[in-house]
Amino acid sequence: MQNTTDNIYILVLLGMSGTFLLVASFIFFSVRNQNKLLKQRQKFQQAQIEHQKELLGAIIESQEAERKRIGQDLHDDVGTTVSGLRLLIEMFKPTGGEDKNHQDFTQSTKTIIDKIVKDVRNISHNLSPTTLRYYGLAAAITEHCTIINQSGKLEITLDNNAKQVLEQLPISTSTALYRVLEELLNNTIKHSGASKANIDLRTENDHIYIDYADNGKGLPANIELVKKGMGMQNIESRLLNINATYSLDPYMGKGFYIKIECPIPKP
Amino acid sequence: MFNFYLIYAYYIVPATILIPVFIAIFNYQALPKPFKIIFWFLIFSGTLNLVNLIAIKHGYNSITLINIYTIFEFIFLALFYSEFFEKLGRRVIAVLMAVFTIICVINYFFIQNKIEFNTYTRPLGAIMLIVFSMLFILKQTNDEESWTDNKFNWINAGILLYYASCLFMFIFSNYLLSASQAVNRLVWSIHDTILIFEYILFAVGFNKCKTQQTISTY
Repeated sequence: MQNTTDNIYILVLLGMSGTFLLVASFIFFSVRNQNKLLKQRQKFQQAQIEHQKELLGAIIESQEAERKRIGQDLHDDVGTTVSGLRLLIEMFKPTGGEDKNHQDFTQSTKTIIDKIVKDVRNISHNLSPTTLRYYGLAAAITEHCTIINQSGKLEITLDNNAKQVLEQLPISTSTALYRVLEELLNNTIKHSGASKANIDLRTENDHIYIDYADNGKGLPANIELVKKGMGMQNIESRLLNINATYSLDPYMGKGFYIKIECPIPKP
Repeated sequence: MFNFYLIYAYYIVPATILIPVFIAIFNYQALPKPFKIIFWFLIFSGTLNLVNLIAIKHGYNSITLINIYTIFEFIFLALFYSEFFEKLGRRVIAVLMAVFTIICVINYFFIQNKIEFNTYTRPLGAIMLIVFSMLFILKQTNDEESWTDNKFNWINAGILLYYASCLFMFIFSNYLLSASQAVNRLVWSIHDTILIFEYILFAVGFNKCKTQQTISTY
């Protein structure tokens, strides 16, 4: 057999270095490849999210338009008709002269009609808050808080340090924020058993910050359960649509707390 | 050169094992099971290396220790990989562990039992670990997260880099015994450097296990 002149030690060194380079480049390429794939997937998902956001925006917009139409119809048609009915009853004089039965009837009918008028006004106001459209978010929130405060169901403290910004907000953003606060107040009244709520509005670095807190029973330990509820899903989709984010504090036994951060849209 | 090599091989390289070990101790609560296996492998490996160094210093033959190390090294790393496989894969790995241990014992007592390195069993273990590592890559590529975010990838990269690169050295260890001191030192320096790479990759993996706070923000 022919003797080879190769030096076995050089071969070992070459083998080791060669394999090291091979494995290192293999790992490097697989890292690059996987990250590239991931980026493409993220890009695709981002596009999907954008599309879903657009759809959500369209749904919310049409929902608001429909609410506005129903609210106006209720206010203008039903409200006016019922007011007319009240006038008619007031004007009606029985032929046999005034008797007690007729007076009682007129009185109770007028009370019922007044209640209907008030309810219709409240419902139409809830469906389409005119204050929001004509006087801005700050006025609408103040008005809503005043109504709740007067009802005695809850004592709300409103601390508004963002008046100027709130007046200039586009209607889509202010409607979303108004609906979110409305939902939060609704949740507090219905589920928390709280006696006090606090709303703090302020601006910082082109963002509106809303701190909402109540002294009720707070959230359960499993926040995921809360997120599945209709109310929270509503809040989430409204906020998502205006690119706002929120953070919830888990149950601490100190009530409910949510912090909302909304970018101020550029005009 | 002489002094530097000794300091490098006897102090610096064995000490680098402390980097991943300390990071692992620091994050021990947050370590998933495969990482705990790697942690105990490092503890075992470091301890045996220390005993080995002391044995060499006192003129003892360390071949027995190397044989024991080969068995446990394979068992620890095979256990690590078995965490990522389904029932059948786990069974196969368990059988391989048993068979490998038997082969190692037979090799030690009847074949390479004098003053030789176990050049039949160590490369065999390394080849199986390379296969496990490749299967791991095959499984993990389907994942939807970034390569660097997956903490197990770092451990796998360390294992693959070390066992694949040192395979030639494991095979030709006995030839190196008759080589000059300079050649031996050169080869062992390269081996030690690759080992440092492995420990650093392990350390990065352990560092990725830090407890992450979840913020409920959308």
